[in-house]
Amino acid sequence: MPPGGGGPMTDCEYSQISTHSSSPMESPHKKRKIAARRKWEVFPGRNKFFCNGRIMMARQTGVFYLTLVLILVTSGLFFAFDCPYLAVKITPAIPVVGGILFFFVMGTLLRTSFSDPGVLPRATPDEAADLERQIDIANGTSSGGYRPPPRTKEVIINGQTVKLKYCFTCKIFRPPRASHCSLCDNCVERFDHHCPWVGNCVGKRNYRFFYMFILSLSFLTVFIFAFVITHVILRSQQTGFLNALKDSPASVLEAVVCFFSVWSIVGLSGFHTYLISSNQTTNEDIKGSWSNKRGKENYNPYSYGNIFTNCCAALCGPISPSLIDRRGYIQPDTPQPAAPSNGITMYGATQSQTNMCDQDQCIQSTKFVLQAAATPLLQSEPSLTSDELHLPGKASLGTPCTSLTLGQPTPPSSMPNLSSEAALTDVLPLKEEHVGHQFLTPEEAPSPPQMLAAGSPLAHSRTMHTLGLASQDSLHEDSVRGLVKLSSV
Amino acid sequence: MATEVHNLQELRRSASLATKVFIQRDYSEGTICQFQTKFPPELDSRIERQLFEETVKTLNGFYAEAEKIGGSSYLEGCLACATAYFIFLCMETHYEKVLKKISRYIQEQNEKVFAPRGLLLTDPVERGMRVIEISIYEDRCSSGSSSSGSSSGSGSSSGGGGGAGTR
Repeated sequence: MPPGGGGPMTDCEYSQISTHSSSPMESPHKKRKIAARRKWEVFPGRNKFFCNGRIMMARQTGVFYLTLVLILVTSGLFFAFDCPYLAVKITPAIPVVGGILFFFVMGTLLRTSFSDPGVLPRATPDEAADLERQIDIANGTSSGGYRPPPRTKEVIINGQTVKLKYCFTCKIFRPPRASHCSLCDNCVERFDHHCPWVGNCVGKRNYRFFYMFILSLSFLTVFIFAFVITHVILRSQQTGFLNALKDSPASVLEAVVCFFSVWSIVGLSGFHTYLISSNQTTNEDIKGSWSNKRGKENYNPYSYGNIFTNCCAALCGPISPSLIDRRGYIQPDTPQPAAPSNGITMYGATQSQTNMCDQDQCIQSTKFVLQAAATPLLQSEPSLTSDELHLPGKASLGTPCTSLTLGQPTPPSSMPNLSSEAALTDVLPLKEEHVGHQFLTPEEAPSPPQMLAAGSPLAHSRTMHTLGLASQDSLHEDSVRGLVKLSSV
Repeated sequence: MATEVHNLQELRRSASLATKVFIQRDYSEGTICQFQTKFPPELDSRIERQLFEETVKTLNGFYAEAEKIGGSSYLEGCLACATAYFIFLCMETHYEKVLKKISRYIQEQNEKVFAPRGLLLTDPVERGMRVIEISIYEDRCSSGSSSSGSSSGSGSSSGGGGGAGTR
């Protein structure tokens, strides 16, 4: 069985392998050879990492560079051309205050852009399987409909009923106020919106930095605008208006930039001040989740009741640490578990098991799955054939923060997930009958992980089931030893 | 006698993992981190209800302390804001300090309470604060000779034996 494509694993692994073959996809051999990769290198979301995982941004950062350039250039021109005159004519406090504001703006901008907004890590395979099992129990295992019912859980928070939705990409029930960002392909806690101007999502962990950024930027913009106007007026008192403009052409540019920015930035600050004082996110406000229009009994369960507490909580509350541990090292594979008591749940469908397949068989089995999926189901094909779940709203980043179509992840993004999940969960039960004859195919079916990334825990269990046989005996011995030792405690 | 297994990593590797139980989050009080204290049926024969509930309640208490909004957290927040958040480069946040306390507590609980019963708690921080993962270990073959030390291990090893039989 010639394994598919070599790469760095051209050495002795090939000859040793009879029961399991290596595949180029993600091999445990690779992990041993390339010593200690960090977790950010295998992060599943669509993010860019810099400085060995210390900095985390969204994939599209073009608009962020524009923001940087605008701020740096305008401030630079202000300090270079207007400040000397103003410092002499009025007071040297002007460049000092301007400088402080500028550093604060840059600091908060970089903090917002580079930090983790509160990304929720995706569920481990064990968790996902456990959840699937519970959902099946709750819904009744009905493979009758073409689409399983939407997965929601209701919870009562402070007297208000809140629906928790199941995220098909991350395989978790989203905590309240969390949402899945379609641009970054991550679930983010207390998701506010995805801001292209800062090149990152705004969520629980960086909302205060974002707010401080727009607040200080509004002050800076107003400050620069005011003093540029003052500068031009003072000069024109001496030399006439047109001459004043000729003497300091930079002022014109600054005035124009500031004039157009002031409206949007100040408006945005005002809007977010309102949101903070009522403890809502942009997402909730746009959807009108807590507005009175939905019903007389509708109120915001997260609000603390008064504006002061809401503001303090949002701005001065504790900052939770990042949950995704970007700079941690990838742990060696978890040990293979004992045989599952029933074939349904799976444990430890680690990558070492998904790549225990032959490349050719992978391809064949994938074709089989696609064919099987194509026939009984209405909507399977587009979703199954896509490599990843191409979520809408990836493009058009020219819109500013206030336009929130980009940050509306939940309804559109869950749809393709839903249909592909439906396809898989409906296909696999059909194939369980064929286990006896087509020994390899159902097990190999989920093996190209990218293809069927929406997760087929059922099929994974089959793979693990048969391939775990060889390693069970060695574990047997070890486990006896282990428990004999334990008994001596 | 034989050396005791102090190292929990060795426990993970040498005993065989039978199943995992997940304690989900309890959102009834909002978005703060709390876990459900409902006793999972899989642990029924493994550990006393009281011990389990006490552990979860203590953990909940720690998380509540970490996320508490009060005088000290305001102070920390204002100080951080005043220094443009550069202070976090040298100082650990209150939350991080409590998280360290929590992992020490979990380590201690694992050693004293859970490992002797063939269970292992995973720190929720490693699972994105979504679940408390409890791994249930058992020795499949020693259904007869199951260690007298592991208190209620023998009761559920038949489940593992049954599972082995279906292969």
